[in-house]
Amino acid sequence: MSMIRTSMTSLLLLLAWSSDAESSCFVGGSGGGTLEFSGAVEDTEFTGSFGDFNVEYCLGEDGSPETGRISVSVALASADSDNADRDETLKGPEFFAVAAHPEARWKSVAIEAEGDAWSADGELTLKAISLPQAIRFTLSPDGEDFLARGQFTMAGSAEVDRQRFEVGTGEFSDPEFVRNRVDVAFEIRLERQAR
Amino acid sequence: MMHWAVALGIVLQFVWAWRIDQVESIRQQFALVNQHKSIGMAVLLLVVLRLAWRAFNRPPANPEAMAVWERRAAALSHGLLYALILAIPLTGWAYSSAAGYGAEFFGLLDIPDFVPQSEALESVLARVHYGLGIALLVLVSVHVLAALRHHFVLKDDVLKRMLP
Repeated sequence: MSMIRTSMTSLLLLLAWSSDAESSCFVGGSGGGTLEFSGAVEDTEFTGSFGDFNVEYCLGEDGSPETGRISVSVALASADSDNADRDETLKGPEFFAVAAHPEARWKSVAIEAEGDAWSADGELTLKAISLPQAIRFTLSPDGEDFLARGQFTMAGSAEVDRQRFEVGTGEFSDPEFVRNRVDVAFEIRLERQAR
Repeated sequence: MMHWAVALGIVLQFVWAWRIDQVESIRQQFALVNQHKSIGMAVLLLVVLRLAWRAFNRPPANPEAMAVWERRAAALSHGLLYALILAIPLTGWAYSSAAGYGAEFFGLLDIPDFVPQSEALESVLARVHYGLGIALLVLVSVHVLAALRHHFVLKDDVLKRMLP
């Protein structure tokens, strides 16, 4: 009797495991994508990128992007704008303060379709300041069943007001010197997370 | 006139280079660098105009009393001065482009970049720009001493005829 029970339990566990074996979470990062930022100093634009970041998109039931959850983490010390002086300043206490706050995080709160694209309200945590931050993105190939396909690409952008996160303090806080708006652009290939 | 305008520009450039090095505020440093770039482009423009003018108007002859070695030394140092006064703003321009900020002319012109943005190129050009600046400082000292020698030792009209 006890042997049968043990077998039944094992079978149930196996069933539970196999039904959950295919994760609905897709992951990607710097290995298969880009995350860029552009700002302006004295009206001169510059573009940089983060060499180390991770994205996780857990799709909702039936693979729906809308009911899913997205979370992003970015290693701020990986910022590179191809100018040694500027990058040093960016990582310093007036900007990212990477020594005290090595990571920035963003997580979605609500995702909704907007025509062919998507928009997501979320919360960005930068320098220990958490504030609402929206992003827009597209998912491709459009309209396919990502769960069946096992991978998709997410590309999009966000407009970040650096002042709200105290990025650029002291003499850098003047928007005449350093523009407040920072444009963020990303394109990441996400693959189904291995169990 | 052109000579003294270029000379004034060069003096200002050394003063500005020194101030850029001294100032603490990055914003002020930015402003000074932009002024340094603008003065440099003005010097480049003036020296190109001066060379063009010289191509059609030969400079007055050297004093009769000058020895062959003195004529050769004068021709060589003048040639080097022109080469440096052209090369320094050009390397500065390239240095600005490599740094990703571009050249500047008092905010009036959109000056194109002629090298791509690159950290490696920037650090090389920074050293070249600085090294050529030091070479110019040495050569200008020789130039000034030679002019004073003409005036006070040789007592010819070489310095006097340079008066505006």
